[in-house]
Amino acid sequence: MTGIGDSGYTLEQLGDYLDSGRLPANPAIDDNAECQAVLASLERFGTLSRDLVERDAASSPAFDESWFGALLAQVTLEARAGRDLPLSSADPRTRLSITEGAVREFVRAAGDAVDGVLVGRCSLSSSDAGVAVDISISVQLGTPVQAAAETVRQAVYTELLKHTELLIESVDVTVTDVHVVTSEDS
Amino acid sequence: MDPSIIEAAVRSVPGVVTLYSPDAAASRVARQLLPGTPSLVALAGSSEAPTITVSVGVDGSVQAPATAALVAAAIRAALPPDSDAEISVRISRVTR
Repeated sequence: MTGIGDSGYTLEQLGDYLDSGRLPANPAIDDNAECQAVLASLERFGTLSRDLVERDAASSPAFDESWFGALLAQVTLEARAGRDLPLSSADPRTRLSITEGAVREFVRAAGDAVDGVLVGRCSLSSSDAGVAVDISISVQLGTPVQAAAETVRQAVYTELLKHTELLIESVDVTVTDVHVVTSEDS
Repeated sequence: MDPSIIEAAVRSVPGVVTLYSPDAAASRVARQLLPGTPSLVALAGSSEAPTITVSVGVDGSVQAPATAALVAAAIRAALPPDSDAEISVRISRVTR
């Protein structure tokens, strides 16, 4: 067991590190891209939870923790650097690349930035026709589903064109879940 | 070759947010065995023709391929003019 990004640290330990304000500083975590990607997701989910609580404080809203747990497990899987995707270089002595993990992270961030959307899973698959991107999303109850999915698709496509040189075959967005702000009273 | 000079050159590139360990597992072992903090610039090969590898996090407001090219150019500029170094720049994160 080498932990997230070969850092030797587990998701729970990264959560503790975040809770401690990242102090004392741990270079094995701070200098590790995969750990930082997971920490960024933990922070984003924490902010989301607080936002939802503020929207409906009277009903004491709470997310399903098992749902969040599954989401975090998926984020941890996707944070792995994976393959290096080549970027063009005019100098034959220079090799430029972007990791699959980096691509999955900014794809996820682009989807999560859409109001009412949480990205559940993001995968890249290659074929002779190019790269197919499959994203599953959860939409907050009350959010127009089709519009949200299309907004995610456009945002992801824009980011892929900006940060990679991949031939994009498709960006498919599937709405697999609707998340509800549940009341502890109900 | 002083890795800290290369690291400083990389950090000075607009769009570079941070450097990450290019080999997390090796870095973790080094931290357990050696005092101090290991360099975030990986050097291999001979002094005449080294292989230099850096792993960077970049600002998502700028195109990542353009930032990667600037990083490589900054490293090349920090090397002696006659250096035949192989340079590898890996974008490990793109953040907003």
